[in-house]
Amino acid sequence: MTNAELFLEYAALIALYIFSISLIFPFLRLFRGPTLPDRVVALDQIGVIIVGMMVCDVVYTREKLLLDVVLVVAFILAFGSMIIARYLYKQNKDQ
Amino acid sequence: MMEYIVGAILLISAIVVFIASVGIWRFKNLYARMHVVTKVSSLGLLLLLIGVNPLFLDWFVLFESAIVFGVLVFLSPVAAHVIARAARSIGTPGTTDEPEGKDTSDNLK
Amino acid sequence: MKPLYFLYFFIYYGFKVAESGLAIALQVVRGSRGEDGMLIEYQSTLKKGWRVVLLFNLISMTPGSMSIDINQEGNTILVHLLNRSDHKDFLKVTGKIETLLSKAL
Repeated sequence: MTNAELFLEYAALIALYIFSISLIFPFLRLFRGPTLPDRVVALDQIGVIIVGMMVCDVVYTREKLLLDVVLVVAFILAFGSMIIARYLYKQNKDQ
Repeated sequence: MMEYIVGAILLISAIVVFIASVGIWRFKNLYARMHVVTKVSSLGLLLLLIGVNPLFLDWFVLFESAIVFGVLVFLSPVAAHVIARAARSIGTPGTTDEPEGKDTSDNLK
Repeated sequence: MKPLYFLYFFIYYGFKVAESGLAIALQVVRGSRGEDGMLIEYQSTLKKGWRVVLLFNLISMTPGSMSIDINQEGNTILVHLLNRSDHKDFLKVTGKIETLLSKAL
């Protein structure tokens, strides 16, 4: 194993550790958030961090088929918050 | 040589996403938090998806990362708009101020 | 003709994402709490359709401003600014984007 590949492997691992540490703050906001839209925003940030961890895994294992998982998570992340906002509208209409 | 560039881009994007997470904990208002989630996280994802490409040098990877970038970054302002409008319509505290500067705010709700 | 402009907007969009992300990240690092925001209205002269959607997304990507709501006719956009001192700068940048959109598409 050459020097450059070793550097890339350690860089991916350290980036994965930084992503895991930064997962703390949105969870704190998710538990503390005063209202429901705050929690939706925190969930959005958690999804972004999960996508980043998945891309780090792609670089670490050099398996390019894992990008399909990134695509699926991105679609769920993009449309999930819209569905929750729709639920908020409907809750407003009922009462 | 290409591995050093990819590793540096990964570390920079991880630090950017960490800054976004700190900002979502520190900011006080709902709109300010939406600013952080929409912009800083989009910058982190853009750096990550650029950094994957010179490692493989493949058309498949380029196409798929372009699709992921399009879905996440073209749809995140729309998602922020939908959440902000819902929060404004149900009267979340701190988001129901009237716009300043203009006096034609009767047809906007 | 059309795909070339699409590619140009893709690259321009990426550039705007980088610029605004760096600006907000610097503001977070400096220790801001995000408390001096303000809401303004922006009167647009574009017709309804794809141009309004592109203008809406590009307003969300300029540094320090985010579009929140749009009225029924599609010519008044409610914008939230993160800092109060960005008002003049926002009007200048958005006017430039609007002329570019009405000329290109």
